[in-house]
Amino acid sequence: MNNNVALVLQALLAIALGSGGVIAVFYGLNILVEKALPQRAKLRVLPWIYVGPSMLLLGGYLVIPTIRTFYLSFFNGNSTEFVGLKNYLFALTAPDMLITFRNNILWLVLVTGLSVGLGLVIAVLIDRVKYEPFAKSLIFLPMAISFVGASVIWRFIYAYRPLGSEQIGLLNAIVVALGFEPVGWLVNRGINNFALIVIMIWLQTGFCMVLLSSAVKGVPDDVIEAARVDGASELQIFRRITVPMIMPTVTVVATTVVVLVLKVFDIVFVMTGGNLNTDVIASRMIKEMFNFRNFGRGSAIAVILLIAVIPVMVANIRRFRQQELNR
Amino acid sequence: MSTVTFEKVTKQYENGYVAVKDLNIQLEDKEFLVLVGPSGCGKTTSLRMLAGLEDISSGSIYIDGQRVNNVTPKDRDIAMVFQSYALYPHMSVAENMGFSLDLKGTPKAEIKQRVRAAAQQLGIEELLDRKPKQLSGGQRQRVALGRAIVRSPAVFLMDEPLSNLDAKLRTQARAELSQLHKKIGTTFVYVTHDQAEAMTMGTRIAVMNKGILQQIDTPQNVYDHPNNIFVAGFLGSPSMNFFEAQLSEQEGALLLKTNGGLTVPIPANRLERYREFSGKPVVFGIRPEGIYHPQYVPPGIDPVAVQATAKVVELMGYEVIVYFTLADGTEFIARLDPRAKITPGEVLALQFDLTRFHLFDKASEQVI
Repeated sequence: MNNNVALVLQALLAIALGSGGVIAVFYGLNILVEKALPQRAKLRVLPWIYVGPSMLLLGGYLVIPTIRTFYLSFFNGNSTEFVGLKNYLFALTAPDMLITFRNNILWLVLVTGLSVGLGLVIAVLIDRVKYEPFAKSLIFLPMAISFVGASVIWRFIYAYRPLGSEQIGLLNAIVVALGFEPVGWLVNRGINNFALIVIMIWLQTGFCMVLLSSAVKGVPDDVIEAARVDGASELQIFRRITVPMIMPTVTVVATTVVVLVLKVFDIVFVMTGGNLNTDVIASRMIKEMFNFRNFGRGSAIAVILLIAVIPVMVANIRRFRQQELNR
Repeated sequence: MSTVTFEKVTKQYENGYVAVKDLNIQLEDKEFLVLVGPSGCGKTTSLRMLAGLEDISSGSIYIDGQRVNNVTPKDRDIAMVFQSYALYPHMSVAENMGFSLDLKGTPKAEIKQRVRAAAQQLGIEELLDRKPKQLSGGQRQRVALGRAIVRSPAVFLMDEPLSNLDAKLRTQARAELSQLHKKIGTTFVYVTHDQAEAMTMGTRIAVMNKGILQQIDTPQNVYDHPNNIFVAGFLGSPSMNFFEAQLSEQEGALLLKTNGGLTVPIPANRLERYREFSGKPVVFGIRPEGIYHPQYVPPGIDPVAVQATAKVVELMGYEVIVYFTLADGTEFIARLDPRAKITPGEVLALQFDLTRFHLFDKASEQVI
């Protein structure tokens, strides 16, 4: 009991010190600049006072590690010997790695396609539901669950017991009740990847739906009614009016999901540990780096992942800028 | 050939609000009907029910004799121009105009030809490749019109299509719309709150208030013979002056005495009409243009002198609008000859034209 109180106090102290510290730093620096520097210099220095700390943090925790990862990817397992492109050769040709890439492509296509597609359809349909806020929160709810938490939930859904024993997994309970044999959802190599992908779709559809729903609401009623008078059926309105009009948002949502999928690791790690042909790039990277202690290979995979994300990010930023221009 | 009939049409919303009540209108082919009234009078709701965008609570709407209550908008053969124009922002002008034909499966070549013809008619050919965002307000309005024309619909519906234009453009567009109506010879139903649009464009106008049709007739008839106080006050700018009054009989003649001390002898030709209201409270109405400056009285009127004090004088150039008060403080407005030089505070013996006044029953607000 006493222990718990101490813990809570500690946490509160940490919050106070953390945010208080940040405020104190900014406040102190601001006063320093205001008092110590002449007017001209002040105007020039002041912005850096505010941008500086975050730039330092980003530099220290993002930029330098990236450069170092890139550097390490040309060395052997314990970073003692320069090996040139050997790690990249491994990453792009080893059979295990090829399966990893295949899986990632599966993830990308299915998760992005289905969560954006489903999100869009739900967004349009939910616009006409009476209890819209309730329905929306229900679909959005999984979004609040961490990947690990979701994985734990789904482990129960996918749980497998041999035929004859009590099925504690939801899916297998249904399958058996219908008179079929239980399925090893996470073991069967034909379906285990899809079983994992479903989890991600479950998590992301709500996110897509919420963003797309606000875009759908942004389509003026007049325009929809004009199309109706022009003779469009509801399906034609969806295809030829609504979707083209919210395309910018669809792109942003899709690229966001793509980036998220490229980074996916937790679900695979918790559910199968990447075994049975379920590895994806990120989980493979962790494995190489921390299980096999091969920093060279791990870094090379990390660099490949980074390069894969860049075009998506560029597209996203471009799109965003264009949207801002159109405002 | 396209007639439109509203038969006892009522619109009641789920929350109980009645937007339109028992509306009966019979529209002949090629008519230009203007639905006019203050905001919330039910004119737009009536139009939207005709378009099929709003359910009809009770009653029936017929287009060409066919009951359309349960016909979807796309099968009603109507075109509508929206107040906001409602152009499809992701389509070019040509695509906007051709969308309805495309949905019907019209061959591409025919669409192109019909779009071009409509664009020519409206003078927007050079805009066909642009997107709505690149157009000015006036151009957008034309495209919205073009989108409707291209279909050659049975009925043309317009919901305040000119209200987003500036004053000069609006006057111009008004004339163009009237011409367009003559040229394409289709039935038009036009909603506006602007009485100038109603007066100038409609072959008939329907004045609505609080969901109820007040009067439907040609613009001139509605202006000259308003059914009730609302219609009398709604049409005309500045609006008609009203004075609460009492009718009294004196040796066979009728005298009208307003609460403001104004006494008006009722002309002989109206005696029979008003006799039964003798002794009852009435409302005397006269339009600002029915009042004359003593120096500029035209021939052919039946003047009665009224003493009043000028308060505010608005010089319009082609006329003078003067706000007067009677001895008891009752205010009224007169539209006078611009040559009359009036200074605020001046007391004048104005001439009221007794060939053009209106009398309403105070209780029912109906004309007598």
